[in-house]
Amino acid sequence: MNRAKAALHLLYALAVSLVVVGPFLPEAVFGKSSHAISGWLRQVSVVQNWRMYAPDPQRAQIYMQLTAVYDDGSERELAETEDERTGWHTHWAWDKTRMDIWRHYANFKPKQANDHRKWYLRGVCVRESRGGEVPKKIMMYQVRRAFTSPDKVRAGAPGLSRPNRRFVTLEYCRSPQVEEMIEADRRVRGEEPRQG
Amino acid sequence: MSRAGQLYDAATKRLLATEDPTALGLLRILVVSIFTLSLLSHVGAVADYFSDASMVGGDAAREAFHSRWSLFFRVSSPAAVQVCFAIGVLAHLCWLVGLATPVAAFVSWLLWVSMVGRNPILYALPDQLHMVVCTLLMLMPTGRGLSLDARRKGPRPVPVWCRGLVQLQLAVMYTATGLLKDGKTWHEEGTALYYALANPYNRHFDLTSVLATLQPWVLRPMTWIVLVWECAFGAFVALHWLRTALGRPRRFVDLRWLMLGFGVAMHLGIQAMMYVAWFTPLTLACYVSFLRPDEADRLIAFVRARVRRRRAPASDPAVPSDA
Repeated sequence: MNRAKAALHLLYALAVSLVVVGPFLPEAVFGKSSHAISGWLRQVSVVQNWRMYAPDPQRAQIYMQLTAVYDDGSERELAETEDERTGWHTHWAWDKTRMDIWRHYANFKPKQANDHRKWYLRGVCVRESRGGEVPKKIMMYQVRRAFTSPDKVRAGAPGLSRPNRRFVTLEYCRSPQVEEMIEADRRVRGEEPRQG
Repeated sequence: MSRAGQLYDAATKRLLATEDPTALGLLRILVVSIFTLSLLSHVGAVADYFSDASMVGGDAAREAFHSRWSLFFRVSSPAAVQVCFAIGVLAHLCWLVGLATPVAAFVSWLLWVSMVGRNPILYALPDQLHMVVCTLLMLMPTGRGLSLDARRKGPRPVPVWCRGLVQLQLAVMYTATGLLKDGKTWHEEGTALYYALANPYNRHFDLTSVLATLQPWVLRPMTWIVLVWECAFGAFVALHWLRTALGRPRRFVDLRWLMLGFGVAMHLGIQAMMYVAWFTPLTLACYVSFLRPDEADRLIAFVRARVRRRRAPASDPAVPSDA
């Protein structure tokens, strides 16, 4: 291999290795390069953030409980609530869908803003409006059960604490942005625009 | 030749050394098999997840996931997304058998980038390894061995750094994960494995009281051993490279059996006890990057012999069966 070809080959190998080490380059030596590389890689969904079970594994499980409220004051519990009723035992791959992951992330930081939750609830407005009445709002509650420490379980305590239910937020399905999403969804489905 | 030129030549010779493509080919087959199975697990929900028929579609999707790139922000009708998905499945099959490998790998990668980018919160931390390894393999000449391309063009050597980079990726993943685990369940209490296995979100078995009984004698030491093993994985890879660079002297112990053997046992244990999507098979497939080409050859010969022996009774009654 001549030197020019070897240099090109070497440059290519170094460029590929940036996928692995780029986000970890020390700022003192490489300046903001690591941030720039992380940003570029993030655009193509390559993320080097390895926080699995870190700093600690979960010590409680939270499920969302959603209720649709309609104009006439009636309420309906939505499908998500099923997790809160049946999700405390065991799970296998065939019980799971990718939507579980979104719901899991939507439960994070209940007292702070969470974009995953905001977009999930807006999506629920769209889903619930399909082929039926558009809910006035979606009320989100969370049910949390802490995992009992092994010492207490050995002493005879149950593995999970009693359920603790609390209100988290609500999403108005008549806000201009959600209305727009619902209308766009109706167009995709070939349905007439809603009246009024 | 100048001294600098000699040094440059020596360095490039070392860094750009090549090897038989069998090991990289085997890595491709195993990893792309996992990619394909993972991809097929989306069947039935493709339009619901990635097209304008999803809960968050059109402009709203572009706004919600603005930090990502996805073909499905441009091609968004349910039918078009499903056609793209079908093309992607075909590309995965071509990549798997090594047919038009560079193109197939790129199309497969494009599909994954588009799916994850279109709705990143359908994917969890374990899926990150999938995207990183997919990107790395797409950028490597994985079709030069054990492939239809190789059958047509003949096997061609591949750079040694290709397998090294997958090894490095595993080292980064384990070491970073280990160092970030600085909470008291991993250190003072040693209860991290207990809490992970007792979580009803993804446990396969409800064994809380058994786990609590095992905690002081089994799970606590195991928690600490896992933490040490993860943190040490980077050093293991560095030592492995040093050993290889020195020509594998007999006095320099090969730590692969110890470190990777522990990893295999740990991941199989995790897989048996809890749902972790495709993380275990993908990670174990990546362990193949630690096999040298001659070892990969022997492994393939062993598997072929086993398959031949199993098939033999039907075609040749004289060959004894071990079934």
